[in-house]
Amino acid sequence: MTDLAIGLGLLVILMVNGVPVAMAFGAMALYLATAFDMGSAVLIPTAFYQLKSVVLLTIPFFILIGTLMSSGGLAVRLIDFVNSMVGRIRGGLGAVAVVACAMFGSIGGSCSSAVAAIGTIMIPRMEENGYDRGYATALVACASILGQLIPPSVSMILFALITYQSIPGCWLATVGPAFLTIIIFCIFNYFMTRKMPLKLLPKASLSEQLKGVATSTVKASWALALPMIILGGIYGGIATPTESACVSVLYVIPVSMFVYKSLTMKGLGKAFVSAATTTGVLVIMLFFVMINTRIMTMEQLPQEMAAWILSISDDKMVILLMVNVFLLGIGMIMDDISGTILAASLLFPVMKKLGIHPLHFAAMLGVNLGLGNVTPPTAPILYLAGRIGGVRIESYLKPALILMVGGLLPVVLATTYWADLSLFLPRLFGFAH
Amino acid sequence: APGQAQAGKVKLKIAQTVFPAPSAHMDSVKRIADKVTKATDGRITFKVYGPELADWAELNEMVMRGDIDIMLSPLSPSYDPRWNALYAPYIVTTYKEAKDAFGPDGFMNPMLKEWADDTNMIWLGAWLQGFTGVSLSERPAATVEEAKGIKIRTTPIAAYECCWSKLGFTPSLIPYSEVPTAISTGVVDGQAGGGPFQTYSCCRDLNKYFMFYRDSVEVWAYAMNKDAWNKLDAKDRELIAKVVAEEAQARIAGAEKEDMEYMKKLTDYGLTVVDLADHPKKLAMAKQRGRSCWKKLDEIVGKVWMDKIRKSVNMPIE
Amino acid sequence: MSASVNILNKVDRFLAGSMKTIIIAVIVMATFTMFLQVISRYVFQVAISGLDELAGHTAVWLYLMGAAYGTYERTHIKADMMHLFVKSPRVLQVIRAAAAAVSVVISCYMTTWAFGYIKWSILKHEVTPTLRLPTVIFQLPILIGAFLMVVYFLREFIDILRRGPQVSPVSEQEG
Ligand code: NA
Ligand code: NA
Repeated sequence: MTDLAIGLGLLVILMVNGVPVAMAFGAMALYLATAFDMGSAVLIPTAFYQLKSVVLLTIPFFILIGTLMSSGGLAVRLIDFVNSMVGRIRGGLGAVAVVACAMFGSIGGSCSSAVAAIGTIMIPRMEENGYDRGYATALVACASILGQLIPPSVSMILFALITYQSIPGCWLATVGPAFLTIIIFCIFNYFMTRKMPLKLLPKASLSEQLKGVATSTVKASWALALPMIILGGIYGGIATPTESACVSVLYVIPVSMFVYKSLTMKGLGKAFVSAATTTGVLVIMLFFVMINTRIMTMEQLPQEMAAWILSISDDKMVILLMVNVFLLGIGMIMDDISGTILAASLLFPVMKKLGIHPLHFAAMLGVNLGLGNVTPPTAPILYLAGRIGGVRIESYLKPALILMVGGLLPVVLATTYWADLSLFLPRLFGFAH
Repeated sequence: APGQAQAGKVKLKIAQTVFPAPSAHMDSVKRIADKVTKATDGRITFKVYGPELADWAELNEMVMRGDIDIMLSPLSPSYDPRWNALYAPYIVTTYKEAKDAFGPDGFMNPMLKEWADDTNMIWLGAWLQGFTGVSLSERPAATVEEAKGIKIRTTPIAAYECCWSKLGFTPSLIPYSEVPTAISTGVVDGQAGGGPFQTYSCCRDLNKYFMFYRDSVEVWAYAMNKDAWNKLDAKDRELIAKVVAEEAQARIAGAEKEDMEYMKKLTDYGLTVVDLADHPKKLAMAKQRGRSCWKKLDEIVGKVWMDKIRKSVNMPIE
Repeated sequence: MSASVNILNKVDRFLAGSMKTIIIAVIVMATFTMFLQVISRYVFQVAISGLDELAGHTAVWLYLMGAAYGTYERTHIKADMMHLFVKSPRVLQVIRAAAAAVSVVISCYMTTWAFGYIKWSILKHEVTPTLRLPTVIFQLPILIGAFLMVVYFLREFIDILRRGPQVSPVSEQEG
């Protein structure tokens, strides 16, 4: 435990001193491996194992789609279209970013692909419209958690497989908390942007407004077809999310090149390299996060933590709170995939004993580990958003913390102590009784 | 690697990473650890790991390298293609035959020992996971005609793909973690390669039919890293071998019981379950078609080895 | 002197070009592999073995070349906050140099780890499950990527020592 604390301390010190986050995690891995006398043999293979998973490929491709849509003119037209409807409402564009993350959640199974695609498109656009760039980055990062709360979700699949629960049941359990998150974020967005010099569309008569909507719909039709192609491909039973991500590139490129004529061969190559670089710097960070997780697992540190936390009280309410603290802690130091596997196998038996409904626990875990993706120090999604937004940590950390504490923490507590929030939909569809 | 510092003290790491507790698999590795620790008055102690450690293919690698000492796990053919022989369809179709093939005195045992030895592992015994089948959502299919046009996910192993296409299905390749999504959106109609327990765990809400084709009996290994084994003294080796052999023996009955139990659970959950053993003609037809895929394994596994198996199950050798 | 600088520049351009080429090649390949997968399943009702495996494995090249290129461009994900507290450019220069030095050390370790892994993999003749390709083809990028990171972090370190803390990324220098 002391070693873990030293490792985490090292991580934070190196990070704030400007060591690239990935290398700071590498230093932590090096420290833990030395402290626990673990050969390098354990370290690299575990990372390679997870890198070669084809599901990880969704990340570069969604980043690529985002980049191509931005540079190829599809994004501008798409946002013009949405803006023609909500552009007269204060903070409308911020709400659009939140809802876009949720919609994107129904395509991809992870936060990282959501932040990649939506962040690339929305952050520059929000800034153009008077939003603070750091705030826009924080908003998209926090809202990207919706990427895994809205089904399909990779971590819920893992939870279901590990605890023998029904997968659709687990997926539905996080939808209630997801909607609560959307509502809270839209309200927060309205108030947090009050002092920003937002550009709103000029007031217009209803007929002028309708005309504006019609014009932008026509202009955006090629872009509007893209979500339909992706969603249609997935829910029409033609392709898996990974395949859809790869294949939709084949739609975006010709449209940007030949229809909107805003993409050149050279620009395409640049987009490829930039998507790969964004993915690469994220993956190298995950690489070391995975190694750290493996070392902690081998040393059975989380088991110790869980045993300690559960020994504190017999009261159900207190234990639930402690479980939240534990999950939050896991989320702060581990990646969400490993965290899910770990927390599910460690805590599930305890939860059963306490009489917590398995799908209720699924939702608690989903929300907590979703939040974990943006809570420092292990906050891959937050850092990725910062990189995509091109802003320094000091300008997005504060709004991000406000959104986490004020927006996401209440969702965590609501999910924990209000079982119906997560169980309503599974019950409605017959997955819980 | 086991440290043998003070007074012959040994620390071993044992793992099973497919099914978390509560499961027969975790119970088994925990029992092994407890029995050995007790028999040595705490001289040999264990760290026991479950699915939080790694996936099974990686566990194979960890045992080969000695990062983990003992595993209960399916075998990965990444380091030795001969393990593909375990994927040969229809080596056996009943639990009695399975015992004669993979039990402690079974005809497969000498081969398995030799192959394990070549990949730096000591074979301690086989764990019979049970027979496998296919789960479907559109309609049941027990014959080639009925299976026509049904897309199913199969494990990306040549012998399985071959078997399922010979059985009339259209095999489809999708990563395991995307299977539930793919079934619920209709990219595929169902999944092959799981037994009643796995089907109940993964797909009871996604599929409506479970066809117990008995296409293969899933065999896992109890195996130990060879260097760790060699470091033990003779008495400890004997003890570990004995304790694991007891587990392997007990599992033969356990596999049948588990298959039957979960087929009933699937039925109770509302799925239509068809056991091809209840339709001998259909099973015989499937067996004949499935075994025609062994030819493919001749090149991968080696004809010498496949012929040994053929001889043991009274198949003609060409 | 100028001749050796010339050669260095050529090597530099060659390396950057190689990374870009690999990245583009992998993206194009993965796109068409996946497209083929969808078409073959949906239109022709056949499964082509190993397409997923191929795409997933070659992607390791994409990730590591991307990471190396990120080091070259100096666009790694950072969370530095020292410039908020430290106003002296001299002190900042020392901190930045130390940070770059730490990165050099860590990527050196990564390189040796990767080297050991690859050696082991070659020794064991490890192959991929379906296509039975030598796994080392897809482990090699970890070694190469790690080595390139050593080189570029080292260059960043030297640059900071020579020119102070505010060294702009290479991509900006090129225009
Ligand atoms: Na999702
Ligand atoms: Na975190």
